[in-house]
Amino acid sequence: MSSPPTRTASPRLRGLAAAGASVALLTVVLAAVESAHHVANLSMLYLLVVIAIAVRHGRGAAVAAAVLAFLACDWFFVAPRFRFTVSDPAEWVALLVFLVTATVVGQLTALLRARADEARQREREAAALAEASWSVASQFERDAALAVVLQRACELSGAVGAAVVAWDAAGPTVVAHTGAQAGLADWLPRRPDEAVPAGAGLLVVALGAEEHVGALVLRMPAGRPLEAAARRAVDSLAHHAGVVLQRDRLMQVEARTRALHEADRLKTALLSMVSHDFRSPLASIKASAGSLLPGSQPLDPATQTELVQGITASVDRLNRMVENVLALSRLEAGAWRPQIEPTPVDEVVGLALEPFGPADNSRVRVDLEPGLGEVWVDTVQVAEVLTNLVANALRYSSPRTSVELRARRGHGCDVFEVADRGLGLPPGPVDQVFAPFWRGPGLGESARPGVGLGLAVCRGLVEAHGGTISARRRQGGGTVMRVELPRSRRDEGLGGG
Amino acid sequence: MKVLVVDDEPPIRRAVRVGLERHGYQVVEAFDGENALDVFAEHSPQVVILDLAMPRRDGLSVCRELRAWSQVPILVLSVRDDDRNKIAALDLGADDYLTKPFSLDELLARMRAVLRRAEAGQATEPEPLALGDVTIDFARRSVTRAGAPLHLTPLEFEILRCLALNAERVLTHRQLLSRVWGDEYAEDAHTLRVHVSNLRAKIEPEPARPRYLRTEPRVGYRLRLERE
Repeated sequence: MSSPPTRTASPRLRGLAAAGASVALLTVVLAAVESAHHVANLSMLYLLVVIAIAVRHGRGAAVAAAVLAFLACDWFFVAPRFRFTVSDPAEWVALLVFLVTATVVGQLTALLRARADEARQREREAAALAEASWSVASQFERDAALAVVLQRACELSGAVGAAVVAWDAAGPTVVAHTGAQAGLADWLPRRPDEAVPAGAGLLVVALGAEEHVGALVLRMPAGRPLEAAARRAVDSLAHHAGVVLQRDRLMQVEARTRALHEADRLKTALLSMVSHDFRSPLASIKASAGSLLPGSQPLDPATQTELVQGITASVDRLNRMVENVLALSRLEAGAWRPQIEPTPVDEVVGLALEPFGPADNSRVRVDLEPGLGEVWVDTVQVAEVLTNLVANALRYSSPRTSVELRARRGHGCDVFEVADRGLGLPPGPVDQVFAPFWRGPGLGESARPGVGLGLAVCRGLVEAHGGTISARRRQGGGTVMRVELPRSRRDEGLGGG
Repeated sequence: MKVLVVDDEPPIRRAVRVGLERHGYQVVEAFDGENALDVFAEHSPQVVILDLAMPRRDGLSVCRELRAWSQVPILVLSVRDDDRNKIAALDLGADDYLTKPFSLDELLARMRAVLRRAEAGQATEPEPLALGDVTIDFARRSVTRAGAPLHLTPLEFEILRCLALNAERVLTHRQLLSRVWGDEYAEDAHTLRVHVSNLRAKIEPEPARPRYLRTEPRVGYRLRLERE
């Protein structure tokens, strides 16, 4: 650890040492055997040693082994022994042929080994990249996809830790990480184009060519730089991480766009409602007020009263629309929590029917299940729902027919129903009537102005209670609107005192 | 009869002034909370119509300040959904409230009710009541329907007595509870609702469409006598 140069040189030195040791060992063994028996072609045995050294330690060590074997052969086994001179010229040829053969075979063997190593390394890279690609393609969850990429990057590069870092105006943010992280934040460059401080042991690989999306940061163990071959694979993994980040960003943009689109649709609908539904009562108020101004012909008191009553009715209608728009926006913002309390059912119903005048009230038949007692609701909100439903039923049915308001106990819930003998639901899915700004076909410009918000508000309020609202076609004509509110809150409420 | 109208919106002050003057009231105006206290000190009106949401000292604060030294009837103007301030004003001693937008008829009716109560002074026993065919004589503690005796529990009778003493005027849950049960029960609105429901079943011709015992949602109850 303390002396990196020794460590980097050691493979070569070890190769040379191994070559020397192997040749010496073989020589000692051969010398011992030679004293008893003559060994034919003992140079072939040296060739085996050279091949073995080439396989284990590479080209340099193989050449060294060949030369050492040549010298050992000459010194110990070629007459005159223990001299480098050679008496028989044929021996010279044999020795030289051995040297050349040993060198060439050693080189070829070492080359083969290197190729095999390279192939194995590539195979590992390919497997890692394939896994990273698969994870990126199949895993839409950003952190899970990045975790796989980071893990593979560590394995391939030998890094002890890795992180994906993104930069914004405030500086670097670690998006995902694996392995050793201690002090990572201190070392990260403040800006993507800044250099990493030397000695940090960090390798920063940009995630994409275009714009500085972020970087893959590898924490390398001291004294072990990334090999060139591994670098290719790491670049490729960084690219994958870049794809994941880009995709995540696009998905966020898309979600925001969708929300904005929906908000925009509501706003457009609201504007068209303001321009139409709000204007007609405003027009009637203005016209009536104008008629009340003193003119050439004095108005008789009955006409005056009629005009003033018209103004009052228009104001009430406008006020109701404003309430509904406010209610809807508050419900959509999730800012209208019901205050659920046990309430006698007749109080809820009484409150719901209060806004109706005597003529309308005489058309409403109330049918409460005996012994129903209390319901667990926000009195004001549920009364609002029932008022809206009864108002719709009255508005869309003949004045000669009656509207029924029923309350009874269901399975684990309280059920309210409003039934009429009116126009009935339009063709198509029955649930469409609960969409904000929906209005029945042909009602758009009709003499029965609706706001298109009442039922949307009802659904919002009922759902805030954890209940459901539904519409169905009534047998024999007309509509039944059904509200189910859970009774399960009873226990919670009592527990709270 | 002098009325102080406190509202920061000139068109509302103006409309109320015109309406009240046509019915014989004399009107003084104030445009915010601070101004209201000054004008009140100068003119000593017999009724105050007080907006809640105002700059420079809101209606609640004016209400608290006035109640520190005056029993003048106060009628609070509020917008819907501002329940908390409405209830706070009533519990502070405001006499009743009106929700904007309101009609002049409603305003006149409420004013008459609070004035009637102010004139009646410290009556402890309400006048005998006739609610449809139900007659209640508080002094004799007798309740009859079409001449036949009707049994009310002591608590039901007490609730009805409180409401009758403040006929046409809203009483908050807290006010009713502390008067009938005592201060320590002031939070138990549920109990009150159950007793009112039982009371309705006995005296209302159609309990699901109460004519006399009216619910003021989230606030309290009001006894309506239909004499308007």
